[in-house]
Amino acid sequence: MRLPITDVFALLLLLIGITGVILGPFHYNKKLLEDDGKVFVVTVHQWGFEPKKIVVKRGDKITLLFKSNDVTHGIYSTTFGINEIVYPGKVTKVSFIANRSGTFVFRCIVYCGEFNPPFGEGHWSMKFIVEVVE
Amino acid sequence: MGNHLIRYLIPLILLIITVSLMSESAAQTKPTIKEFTIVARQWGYEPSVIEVNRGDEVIIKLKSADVSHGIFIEGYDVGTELILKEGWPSEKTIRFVADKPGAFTFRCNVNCGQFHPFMTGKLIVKPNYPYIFSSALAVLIAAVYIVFLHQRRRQLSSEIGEEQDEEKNTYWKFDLLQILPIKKFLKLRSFQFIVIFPSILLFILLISAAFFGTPVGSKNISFLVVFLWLALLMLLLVPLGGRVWCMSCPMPAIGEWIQRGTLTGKSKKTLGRGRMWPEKLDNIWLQNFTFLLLSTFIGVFATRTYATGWLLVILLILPVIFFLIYKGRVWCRYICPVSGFVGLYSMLAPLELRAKDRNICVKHVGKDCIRGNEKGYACPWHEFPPSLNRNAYCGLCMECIKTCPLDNISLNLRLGGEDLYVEPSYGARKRGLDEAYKTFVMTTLAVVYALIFVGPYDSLKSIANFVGGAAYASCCSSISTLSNGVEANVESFLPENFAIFFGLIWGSTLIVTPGLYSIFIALSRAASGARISFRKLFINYSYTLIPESLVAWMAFSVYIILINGSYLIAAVSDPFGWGWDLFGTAHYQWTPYLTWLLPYIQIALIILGFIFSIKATHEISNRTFNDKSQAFKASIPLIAMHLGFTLLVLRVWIGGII
Repeated sequence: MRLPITDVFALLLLLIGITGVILGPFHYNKKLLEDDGKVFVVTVHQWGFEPKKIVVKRGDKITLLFKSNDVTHGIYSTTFGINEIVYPGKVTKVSFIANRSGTFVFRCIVYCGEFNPPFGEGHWSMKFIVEVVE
Repeated sequence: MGNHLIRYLIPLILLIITVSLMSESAAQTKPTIKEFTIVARQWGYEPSVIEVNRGDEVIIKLKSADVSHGIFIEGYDVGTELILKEGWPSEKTIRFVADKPGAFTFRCNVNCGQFHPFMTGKLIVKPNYPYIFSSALAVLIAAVYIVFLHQRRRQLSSEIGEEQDEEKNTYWKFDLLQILPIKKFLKLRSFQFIVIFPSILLFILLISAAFFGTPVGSKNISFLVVFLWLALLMLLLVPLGGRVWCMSCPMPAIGEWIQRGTLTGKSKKTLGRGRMWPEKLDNIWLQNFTFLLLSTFIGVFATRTYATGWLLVILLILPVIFFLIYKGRVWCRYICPVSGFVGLYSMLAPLELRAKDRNICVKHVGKDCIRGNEKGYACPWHEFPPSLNRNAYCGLCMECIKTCPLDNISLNLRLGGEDLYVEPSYGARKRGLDEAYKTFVMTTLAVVYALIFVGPYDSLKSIANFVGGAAYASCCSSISTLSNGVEANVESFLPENFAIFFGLIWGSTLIVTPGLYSIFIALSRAASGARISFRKLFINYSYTLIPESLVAWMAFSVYIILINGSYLIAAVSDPFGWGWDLFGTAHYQWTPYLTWLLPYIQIALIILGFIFSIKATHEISNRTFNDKSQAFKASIPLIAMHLGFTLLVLRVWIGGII
């Protein structure tokens, strides 16, 4: 079967367009984070962090992208001087140099409900662990 | 007696209603300070309705029972965010003077989970003048119409023998094909590809964003575009362009391209089985079914991006099957859930595709428009273009403009039109119950959705949210699972809620509304005194619901667009919610627009729809009954019904609470 020239052109447009639309955003996103050192995407949810723990090397530049998919959360670490609100749908970007080794706990600083109030579960039990190794 | 009844009694009753509505506004009270403590929780307020008098100073103390929430009062445009950061206050206060009367929706302005967009309550500032006056206006319009028509009928009956009512059924038209560039563009073989190409790329982007973007709806372009597009479709596209959407719709594109074996050309042979659609299904019952099916899951689609994503994928892939089995656009004409209501309301649109001169078509032996020729395909919508007298099933694909060798097709801008009043194909086909039920479905859901998604009724919202919602309370009752790190907010299916919601959607549209409607039809039949089949009246008059149900949707749509449209400004800069800022607008705050004007736009639309429904009742009565007097009497119960519906819609949107 012979394709008319307009069909060849249209098919080409379609292929380029669809590839661009599907792969373009991922490519752009990758480029955007090139200078940020080690990037970790951390999802904060009721009630926990995903991943729960990351392991990094001492001296690394760390960028954490906190995202919430449900309600407003927060992220708090005295060690690295982090005190941010994580709004749903917004990316909260936190960068720091892991200049101390050890295990550090990040907490949620915005009350986000609890399952069974008197037992102190839910919000109060949320922990994100950064382990800095030599 | 009957004459006196109509002449005096009915206007009198209507006047009494008007006066009693007005008198409600007379009671004035001294301004005081009104203090409320509102407790917010996922997803509602307690109390969800607060009433004050005009001039009162209102103090609202907002607390939260679970997570961070906020409150924003549309119309007063005051609000506060209650972020429960440790060390921050756990209570926020707003103060304002309630100087504007009316019903105002207040909503949460801090994203608080899936049903956040629908976390609403109502502030009612009495006396609610906008509601009182708009209702009184509707009652007056009905009264004026009945008195006016009654007078006219008496005049007519005194002038016996004169054929007064042989009005020529012409209306203003302008053929767009007279404009050469438009004609050339529409005649291009690649026209369809050119209009579908951008929309299919957008569609694929939306699918990608739905799966890979943030699940927070208001920050995800996919979700925003789908729902704002639906609103825009109802508000502008359909009322102004009818089926223009169908012209550029990407959903059937892949199937059609495969079926034709070409993107832009005209192939001699088509792929697929090329079967004819079964005659038994030559109606829109399937579309009614698919639409109700989607409606059943609206609480899921409207709150979860992945559900939107799967829906889009299905709507892109499923049509292909139908294109491979059947001839033409069977999917669009008989199955597509969107097509049903677009077709119904397109009959009101000021754009039509028609044969210029039907006599030419009758004599023309070739009938290229239904056979196809080297320039184009046979009508993919299985219409016979010369017989088009309604917009309902013409998809504006423009094939007949290409195929007609006699240049006998016109694409008219029009004022007026008779689509609602006439039998399809100039009487060659008959209208059926399928379209009548489509109007019931649309009429009912316009109100039901408004109550669910904008009303202050938490119970309705939790029923609609039958997946998840308060689920974690029931699913994760053991604390130990939490400590073990099991995710607490897993989705769970709530069968009781689903059953109730299913019953609400299907029962209200298929049983309650048709039931109420048939009471008015029975009254109408009795009032007319004519021997006419109930079924015929039932079907014919159902079209009178179309204008007022369309405006009920438009009132809903204009609300959605003005209140939530600003999300899109931020989302174009960050379509996936990945933290981008393409155009520097990513941090644009949610800003409801024109909230002071919104109720008046809604009132104008609702009243306009009421007038159009009265007009449709008048026209349809005159065409259904031979006798003018019978037609007039038959129309009175219908006017009462339209008045009732209009008052209900006004009550929901302007009155605030049912």
